[in-house]
Amino acid sequence: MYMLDRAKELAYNTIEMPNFLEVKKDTFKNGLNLFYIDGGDLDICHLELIFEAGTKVQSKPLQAALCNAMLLEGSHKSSADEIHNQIDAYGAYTNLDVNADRAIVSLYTLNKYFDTVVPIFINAIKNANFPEKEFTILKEQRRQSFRINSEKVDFTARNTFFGHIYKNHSYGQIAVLENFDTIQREDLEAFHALHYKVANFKTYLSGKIPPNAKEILEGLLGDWTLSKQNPRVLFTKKTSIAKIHIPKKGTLQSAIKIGCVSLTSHDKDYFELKFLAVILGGYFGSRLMNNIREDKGLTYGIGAMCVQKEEAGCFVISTEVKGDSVQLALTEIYKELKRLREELIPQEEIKLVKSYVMGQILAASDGSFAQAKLLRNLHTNALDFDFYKSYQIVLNELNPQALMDMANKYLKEEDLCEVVVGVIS
Amino acid sequence: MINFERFELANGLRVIVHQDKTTPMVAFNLLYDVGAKDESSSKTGFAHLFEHLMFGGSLHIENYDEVVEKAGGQNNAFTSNDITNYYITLPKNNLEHAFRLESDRMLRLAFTPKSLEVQRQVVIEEFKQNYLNQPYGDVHLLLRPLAYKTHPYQWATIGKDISHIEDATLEDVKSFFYSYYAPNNAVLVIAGDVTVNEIKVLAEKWFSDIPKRDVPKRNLPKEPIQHQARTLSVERAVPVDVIYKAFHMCSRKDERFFATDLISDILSRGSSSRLHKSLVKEQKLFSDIDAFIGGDMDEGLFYFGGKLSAGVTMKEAEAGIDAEINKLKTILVSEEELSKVKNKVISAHMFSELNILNKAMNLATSELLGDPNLVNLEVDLYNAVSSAKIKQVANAIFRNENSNTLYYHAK
Repeated sequence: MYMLDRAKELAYNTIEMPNFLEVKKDTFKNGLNLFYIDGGDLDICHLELIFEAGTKVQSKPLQAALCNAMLLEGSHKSSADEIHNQIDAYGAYTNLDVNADRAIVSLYTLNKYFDTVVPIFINAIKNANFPEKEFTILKEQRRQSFRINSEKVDFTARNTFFGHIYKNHSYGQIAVLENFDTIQREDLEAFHALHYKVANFKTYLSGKIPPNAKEILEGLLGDWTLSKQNPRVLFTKKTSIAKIHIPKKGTLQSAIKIGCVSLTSHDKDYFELKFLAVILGGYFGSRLMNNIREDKGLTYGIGAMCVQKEEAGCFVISTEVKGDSVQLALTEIYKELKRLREELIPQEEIKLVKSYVMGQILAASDGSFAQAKLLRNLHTNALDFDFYKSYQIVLNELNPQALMDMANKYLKEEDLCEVVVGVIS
Repeated sequence: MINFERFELANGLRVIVHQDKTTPMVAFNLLYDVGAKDESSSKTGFAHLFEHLMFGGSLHIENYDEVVEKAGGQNNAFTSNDITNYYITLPKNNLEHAFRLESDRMLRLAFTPKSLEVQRQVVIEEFKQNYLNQPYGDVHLLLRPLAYKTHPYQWATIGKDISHIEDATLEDVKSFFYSYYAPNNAVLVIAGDVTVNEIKVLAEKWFSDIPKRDVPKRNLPKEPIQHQARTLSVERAVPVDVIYKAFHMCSRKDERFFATDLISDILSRGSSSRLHKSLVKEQKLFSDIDAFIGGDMDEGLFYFGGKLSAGVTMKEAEAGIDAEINKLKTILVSEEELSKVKNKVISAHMFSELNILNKAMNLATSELLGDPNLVNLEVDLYNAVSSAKIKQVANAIFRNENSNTLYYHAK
């Protein structure tokens, strides 16, 4: 009788780069680009407008975020209630978001209501007029959330960390509670005029593309006044390295951030550094997770990553650890960084992480919605799907010596900023 | 419409296969019919601690995660009061690794003392990070025992008390495993570009030699009908006062479930919903307020939870909620408003079908409710709810004597 040999490991099949769907593009008379990624059986689609209206272009804290959050809160033509009633009545979903570089304005709709919902959505954004009533409500909501978040060690640590490493860049402009007292609806109006009404933006449509999509969108977007893209100014200034420890009484856990300003995706070493971050703390079986969580039980989670930003990315290690174990955790984190600089990474580990990374890419590109999201993020960094071809080449050529050299170049202990919020022993 | 085929192995393992040819990934979802409600009141938090231990190695495989990572997959798990659910998504060409991993740990865990020691610490840190060291993190730790006096929903999955986690022994772990981690207590769903025949072969190969186990028959005490309103006031170092109200509602299997869910949508789904318009925008009593159902299988709770605007008293805030409740109880919802929330549910349903893991989990939950096809009937069941039904259900739930109110004061 056949006996199953459970102890025997099965062979691992190679994971190939995904097949990216064809990207089609229309350019309207004003020069606006609309990218289509057509795919899927369901009669639904996702429209995204990506504006160069992130926090980096704001003249004061909160301006970009509040302006974005109010895009559907009333326009010259319709009240907030009218806009929300209509969008909800057709079963559509909207999402408004801001990061350091871009504002993301998106709509998920059933295709059968595309013709009706899309004009309501786009006209609201274009003609937003920031009514005082809605502004006051939103400001109070955000003020309360800010006060609640300020109680969290992780929030304080994150703000302190980014505020410090990007001290000389708008990426480091961190809001404080007092900013809620001075921000006015006129600030949002001004920001809207500068970054939305006259805008540098791109649009993306994914899902099952309705046959009349181009016609509808050209009518709504084709006469939008476009501005030139701001030149990309790379930020290379080194900030002073610091160890900032902020005591917080009565807390059961302490938040730790360790890192520095680092590469952008255009730097030739970016891929290797990104890979090194995965080895260190980018997946469940990573070195930091194994050591700090699975071996010592000091935390629920710990991670390391390269954060992609247009003008200057950063490298950051992040965790919340048991209150009385901050010193032990710090010692072990630095020990793991030192190992990267002094010991060659075993081929087996490189192979494993390579498979993990390929699987991640495959999962992140599953379906037209997901691929459109990847594409717009690539575009923010002036890249396209060819990025993955370069990445594949780098992955194939990774070797332990090169990775160790990277660690010595970019992850020197003396270059890292350390922030701890909580119990300081 | 989610297509599926279903079969059962001789040892009782139920297997459901959904074919989606458009994706290179496969979702492998294994649900065990055991949750925090199956714990004894002196050993709470155990189902969840056990979920952590499931990653500490099995009979033939020392490192579970390493295999998933080498296969290019991602995995995780969650524990609720009702179920424990494990899932892996991985490239189709490495699917068999998932069968090997999950069948080995269903066969037997390694039960190493080190794994228990470390995961105990990790769970204690999780307890602190998510429940104790977060503003308002203990809300549900307070509300559950207020609302439930008999049914085991009275504790949260993380447990009643850290000491229960601290005191867990390896014997407890083993006995829990052999009681509940059995093929005849599990539902396996595979979703992706697969055929039922290839899954039959793999399921037979990897799972058929795992013996059926004696799973204790679930016999949970029913929560008696609540006859008197309950309240609890606490004071915490938080910046803003919040109020929670929880009302007992029907079980997931009850026909009134769909009307109940739509009530929560009428109240608080989207910016055009009643609570946002009336209590946040017009009356400015709250900076933020939600109404939601807990999603439990047995008789669950319907919650209201809101952050009070500066200067508003608990009494004023509560009166605002009561007035909205009263409208639902006395005035029929208009056809227009009802069709709005139905449209939202229908489109949410469609968008959820974009993701194979979602589809796999929905099928598994539906199977547990008695029929995997329930997931395909839901839209019709929501559509069938009338305004009169909404009013009737609102009257049944929102009775003062059925309420549990938590006044959470800022110090």
